[in-house]
Amino acid sequence: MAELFAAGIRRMLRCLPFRLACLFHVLFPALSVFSSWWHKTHSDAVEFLDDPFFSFVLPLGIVLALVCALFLGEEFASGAVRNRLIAGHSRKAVCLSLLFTGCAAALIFCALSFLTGLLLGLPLLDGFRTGPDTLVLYGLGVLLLSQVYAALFTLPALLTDRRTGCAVASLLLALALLTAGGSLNERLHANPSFPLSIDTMDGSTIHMVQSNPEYIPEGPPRQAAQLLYALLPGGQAVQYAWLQVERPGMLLACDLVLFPALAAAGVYLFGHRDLK
Amino acid sequence: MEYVLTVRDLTKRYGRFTALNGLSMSVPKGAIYGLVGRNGAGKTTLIRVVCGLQAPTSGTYALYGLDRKARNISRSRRRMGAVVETPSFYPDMTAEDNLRQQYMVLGLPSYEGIPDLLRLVGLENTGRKKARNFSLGMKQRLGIAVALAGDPDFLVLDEPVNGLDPQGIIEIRELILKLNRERQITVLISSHILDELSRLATHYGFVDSGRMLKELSAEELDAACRKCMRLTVSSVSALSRVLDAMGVEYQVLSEQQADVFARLNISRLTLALAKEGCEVLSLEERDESLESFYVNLVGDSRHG
Repeated sequence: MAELFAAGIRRMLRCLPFRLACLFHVLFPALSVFSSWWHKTHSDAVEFLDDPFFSFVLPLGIVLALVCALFLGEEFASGAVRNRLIAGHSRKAVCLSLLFTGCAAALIFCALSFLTGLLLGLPLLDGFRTGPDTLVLYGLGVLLLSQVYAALFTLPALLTDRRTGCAVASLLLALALLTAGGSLNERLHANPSFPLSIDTMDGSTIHMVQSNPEYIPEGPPRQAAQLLYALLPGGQAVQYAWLQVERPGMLLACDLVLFPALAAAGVYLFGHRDLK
Repeated sequence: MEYVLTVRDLTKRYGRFTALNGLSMSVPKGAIYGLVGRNGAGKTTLIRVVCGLQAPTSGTYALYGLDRKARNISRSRRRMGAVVETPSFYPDMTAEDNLRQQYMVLGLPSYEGIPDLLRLVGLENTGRKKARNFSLGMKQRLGIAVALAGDPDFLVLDEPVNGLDPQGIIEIRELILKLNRERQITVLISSHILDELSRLATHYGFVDSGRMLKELSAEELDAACRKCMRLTVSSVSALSRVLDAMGVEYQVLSEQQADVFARLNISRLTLALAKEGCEVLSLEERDESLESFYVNLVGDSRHG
């Protein structure tokens, strides 16, 4: 499988969507750092590097959705996948090599973002607010999340020959995951109730407490929402990007379950697919 | 006889549609095996299954004697190359880069063989030209070159001359013959261009509705193709009376023409026709072509 992986990386490095994505992962953190630096120079406020450093995690899923769909679409359209099978490579090896190529691309994107953030952020901003242990934990979490995203978006690309359709579907899925993550974040951080003041006809004011319909009540519904928030890659992306990770261990555990599950699903489904 | 590929009772269904219906065939080593059939006969499906791109619904096949489910079938697959439907290559790469990529996929230790391979398929002078800018014939030859990476001794080509101009067809034909004669590569080639196939094939398999109607060698086909005499006469009814009296098999083509499937004494026939007041306007000897053999075979199988 090593030769397939090496051949996949050679192709990925020539792939235009991958190159554009690399550029994006340099420019996006750079712009985030410059934005914070601009705010700092104009307000004399202390600007830490934490926020711009992890800001790229939010669009990471969208980028990987497009890169995986377009790269694998090209591999199928050019007949490269067919050639590998005809040459005697097993379906499992072909599938895993494509998955690992996507994973490698995801790691490269993260590395570029982290490097750009450090190189520009350290001299321009006021260092990290978060301690080194937490920072390493978050960094590890983001790397694992990128692998889950790669596995998630490799899966549909392995199962269809329609490159454009797959790219659109993957993009919509990435957006849906982010929206779901944002919505869960909002509802899990909502107050259980809010104060309400009503002015009566006689000039007096009645103060009362109104329960918040957005609030997810304690007990099984809240636990289910918290689990979903940790499990969904979109939920994880929101937590890392907004530095609102309450249970980092839980996120890592979810990723360690999700990645092999997605990889196994890919191997199984690709193994039973009729190729043209 | 040693066989490179043997297929037994292969069936492939897509939902309710049966593409292959218990097909069996054997490709002898060293042969150019022509798979003949109209569009939709099951040729491409058979090739996809044999190449491992699709799993059969039932039945099996063996490559170099190894069953498709054998643990080390990948070793047999290493000995085959294929161009299925469209040639497989990266359009944004040069011919040489494409071959380097395929060498990498195969895990070959060096790129030494690439110049020879490019020369073999006549693409040695393409330089930095991207494959997307190649002519159709060049693309087909590049697809064959990619399939030949790793020196396979069994080449599967699915409709390799489809869409090519006459020059392209000649180039591909000469390449296939060269590979077979000089490198002893066994070739399985599917086509519905029968005239082209008849210039190449040493063995034939006639496929229709997912079934193998007949397998035979080129020699057997020659023997099976009946020779006939095409007569043009002034009255085909008079000719019919004479031929019936002689007890000879014939087929009336028009009011003036008939094919006679027997060796006749021309003088006797002419005299007999003269007695009936019928003139012989022309006479020519004809061979039944691969095309008419195929048409008869498919017609018989559908009516029988």
